[in-house]
Amino acid sequence: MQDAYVKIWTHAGRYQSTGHSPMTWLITIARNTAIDQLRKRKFASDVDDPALALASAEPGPEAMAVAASSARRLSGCMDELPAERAAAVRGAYLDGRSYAELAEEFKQPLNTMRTWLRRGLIALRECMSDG
Amino acid sequence: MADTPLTENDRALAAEYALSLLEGQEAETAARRVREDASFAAEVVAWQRDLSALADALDPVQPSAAARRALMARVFGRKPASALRWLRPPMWIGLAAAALVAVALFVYTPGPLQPTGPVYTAQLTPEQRNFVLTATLQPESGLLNLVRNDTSPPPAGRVTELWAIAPDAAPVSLGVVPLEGEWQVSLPENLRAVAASLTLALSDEPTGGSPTGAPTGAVLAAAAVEQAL
Repeated sequence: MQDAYVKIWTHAGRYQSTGHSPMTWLITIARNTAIDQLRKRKFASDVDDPALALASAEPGPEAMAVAASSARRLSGCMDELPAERAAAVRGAYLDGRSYAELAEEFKQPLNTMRTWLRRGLIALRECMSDG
Repeated sequence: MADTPLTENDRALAAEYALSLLEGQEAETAARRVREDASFAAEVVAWQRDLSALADALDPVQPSAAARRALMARVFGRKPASALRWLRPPMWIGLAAAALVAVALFVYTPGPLQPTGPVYTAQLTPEQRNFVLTATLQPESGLLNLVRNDTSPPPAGRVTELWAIAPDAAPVSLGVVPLEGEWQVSLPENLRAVAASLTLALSDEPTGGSPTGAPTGAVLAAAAVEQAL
């Protein structure tokens, strides 16, 4: 947790260029930092995640309002997914599960697990754009 | 390679990237694409934004005071020279993080001057007002920096007023809490010497603030300052 705070402090100057709402930015850094520790990955992600260093066309209140409404929509769309796929998305996001770990948890071959989760994500994206 | 239309496969790949599910070569290829392909990058950002709503399901955990002290030492260093490096620009930075097991809010607000003495902080969390107020106090300059994390207004006809309370003394008003995110208050001269033992408090008052100079409504939150630096 301290690592996440330190990164946030030292890179705060970059925040406004991402187009993220403050909470999304902070949550994403905190999550990436936690996953790095979890996996002890060699290559850097967290604030070096290029998606956190993007120039945004129009950040500001409008982008934030959009963020708030799409966040509300997400929980509705998660409910529309088959329960196991929603659980896999949550496991990947909240618990930082890898495909290998998800495959074990859901007792599926790795490739099946991946196909399965990708379908869930595509369904989620379609549901989000319909809302 | 900018603004290419995204296929369904691209969107799923962007989601996998945002979920940190890609490994090895695939992860590196996707990271390069984020830098070079604006449409793909926007899709990753959209996924990060949308998925961050899942963090709402986590229970907030308040980090320990020891963690905060250790963090302050790491960020600001123990030597003034190191603190100077970070404090040069007169800017404020909000620090908040929802770690996988912890959601907490912490704000440090350096003033335009570098602190030459100790720095104290306090966090006030009035439940009825649904915001967190973080105070950072530099007794040397007498400046109290205040940051609130949410601009939701109090009930109609009511305001939230901030008070400083020295041991065995009556509360001294530091003014009505504005809806704006950040502001500064100059601590009255006679409170600077006892800054280390101050308690900050918020009370519910009628519009315009307490008419008597003392709190008249319910105390919404109170916290003693703690040395942070």
